[in-house]
Amino acid sequence: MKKVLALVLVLSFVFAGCAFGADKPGKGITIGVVYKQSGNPYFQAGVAGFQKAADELGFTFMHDGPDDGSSDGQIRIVENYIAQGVDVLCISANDPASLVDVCNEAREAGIKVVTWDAPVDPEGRDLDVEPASAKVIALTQLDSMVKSVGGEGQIAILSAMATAPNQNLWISFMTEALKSGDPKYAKIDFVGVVYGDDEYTKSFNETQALLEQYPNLKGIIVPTTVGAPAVSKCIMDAKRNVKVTGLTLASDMKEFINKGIADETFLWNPTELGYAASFAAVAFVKGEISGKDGETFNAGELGTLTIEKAADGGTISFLNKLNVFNNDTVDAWINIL
Amino acid sequence: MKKIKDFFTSWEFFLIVLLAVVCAVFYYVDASRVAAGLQRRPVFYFANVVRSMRPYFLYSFMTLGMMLILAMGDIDISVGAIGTLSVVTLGVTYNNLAVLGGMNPAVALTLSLMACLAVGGICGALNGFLCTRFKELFSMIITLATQLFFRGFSYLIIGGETLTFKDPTFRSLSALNKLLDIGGMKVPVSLPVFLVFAIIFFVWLHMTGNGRKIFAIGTNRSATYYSGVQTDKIKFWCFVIAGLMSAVTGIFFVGNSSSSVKADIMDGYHMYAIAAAVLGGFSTDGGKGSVIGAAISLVIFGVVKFGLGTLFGFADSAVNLSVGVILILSVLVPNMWEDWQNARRVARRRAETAAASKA
Repeated sequence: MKKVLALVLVLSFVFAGCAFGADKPGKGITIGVVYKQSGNPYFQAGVAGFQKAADELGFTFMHDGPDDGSSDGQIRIVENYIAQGVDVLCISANDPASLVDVCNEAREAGIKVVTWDAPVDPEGRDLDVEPASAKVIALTQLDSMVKSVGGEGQIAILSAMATAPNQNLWISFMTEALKSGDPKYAKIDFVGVVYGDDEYTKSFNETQALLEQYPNLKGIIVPTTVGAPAVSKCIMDAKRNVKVTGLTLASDMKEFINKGIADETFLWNPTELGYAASFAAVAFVKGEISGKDGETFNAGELGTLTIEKAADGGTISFLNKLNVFNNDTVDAWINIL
Repeated sequence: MKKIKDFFTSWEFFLIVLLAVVCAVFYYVDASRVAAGLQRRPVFYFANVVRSMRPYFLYSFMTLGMMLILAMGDIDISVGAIGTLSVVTLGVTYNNLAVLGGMNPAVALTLSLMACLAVGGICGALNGFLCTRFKELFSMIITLATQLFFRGFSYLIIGGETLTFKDPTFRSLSALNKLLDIGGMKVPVSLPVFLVFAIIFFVWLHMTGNGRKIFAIGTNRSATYYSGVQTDKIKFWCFVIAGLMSAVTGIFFVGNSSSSVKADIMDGYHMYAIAAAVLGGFSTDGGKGSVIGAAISLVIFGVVKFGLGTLFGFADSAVNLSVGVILILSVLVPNMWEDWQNARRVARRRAETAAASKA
């Protein structure tokens, strides 16, 4: 029934698109979407975002990805799009380096290159669109944890490897916020970070040790998808009232979210990424942006997005919005993330 | 007169007709799509097709090597993996010599390229040695084993990481991926290079005694052996050459992928190489086929994949179905033609005997 409803919705969008296409800003623009692998639900969700934006903006798009997740397959697809004369390429690259030359050839042919989800190296792209900045990712998890434990009590972090750069950056933002003197963190007692090395067993054992060491522990933040189910399972086995939050897959955490071990967990939303990349693409063709630091573009229901300098030397735009998995939403995502 | 008739009944002529039919269909579809407003501009015109042949000529060198093996009645499914191992060697050698070792980049690149070709040759030699030493095993089984070995070995050397080189010396390899401007048309570098290789192979296979010996081995190995041909030696060197051609393919592949090197590349390339050679008239029975046929087949596969992808909107992963369809047709049609000819001959004989007995 859901599928039929979705189909009717999509069809009605398409017809609406035909009827009012003339006034839409993206009319006449063709976008070539390249993703990492065909048949991957994550990217099907991404394509849904492009479709949604196409309905609003009136552009047309094609999408394709190699079946083996290879970069030479992606190069083939990009070459085909160049031959067809698309206006913009929206690429989620299997490998940042391999696609640089072919992307530059596209740019010489006047095609803009917007990457989403996984960037091409800065010399081969015009703009990268990514889910959230490190600070937003960090504070979303921390604030969710503060809410889960009711604003007071001991909390800990279980990270991946001690050397993992992303996790360390997020943790530094969290500890900084905790020390900032903000009243909402005043009664939070942060006991420290342990490392599960992105291994299930190690994460499980580290959690056990945490639970024994801190009998009053109220919550654990797990900013890594491998660790989260291990931590939750350990808490469930120990029958302790400790809350979990973090970056997780919906499918891993459904059981624990339903049982109340985690109130909510997060990950980015590929549909919104595709949606935002489309708006950036149209803005490029319209000449509203050129991919420079400090420019802004309208991204429909995601509001206005700002282009900033990326860590790799190119430019990037963050949606700064994470997908929430809770009791109500987790079921819709288990087949996708 | 006989020569003209030979030409019109030859396999190459059939391939040319096939190519013409494919082009006509795509051209018509392209024009009607533009007329219907589904496309803003035509896609299927000569210059654009030539320009887009680049990804489909990457494995053209492998096809040349595969021809030799097929002509002998053997098969080598490890060529893709040999390409991978050669490329990984190229990257790792350069990384160690120039990036970590501080050697003059030009010298390092020359040495790395030599190492790359050498590894291709050595891998081929291993195949050749095993195939001539253990005749009781099918070459398919042997090269299946070596394929797995070469792939595994590539991962062992480089792991899951991607080696990327941004220095201008190594980046010069991307010149192999450039488009040459020939008379206002953009021609991929691999096309003329392939043409040179193809002419060499053509002369060698069809115009020299050594080339004919290769076909003789495929027709009847024992008879060839007892007429004094060193079949094992020829077979060994053919495998070495196939390995070398895989390494050449690998070098072009590096140029194509922005001078980056990793271990999961060129998977499935052996299948493209075999398909093009088989459509070109080579068969796993050995003893037949021509370089011209293989070259036309490469063009056919390139054009069909390009057309299906751009005009019919086939997904990249679905485009390969065309290879299967064309291959099966290319085996079926001549067989059906032969059956029909035989049936006609039988009917004629019957009519003749019936007429004779009546008289």
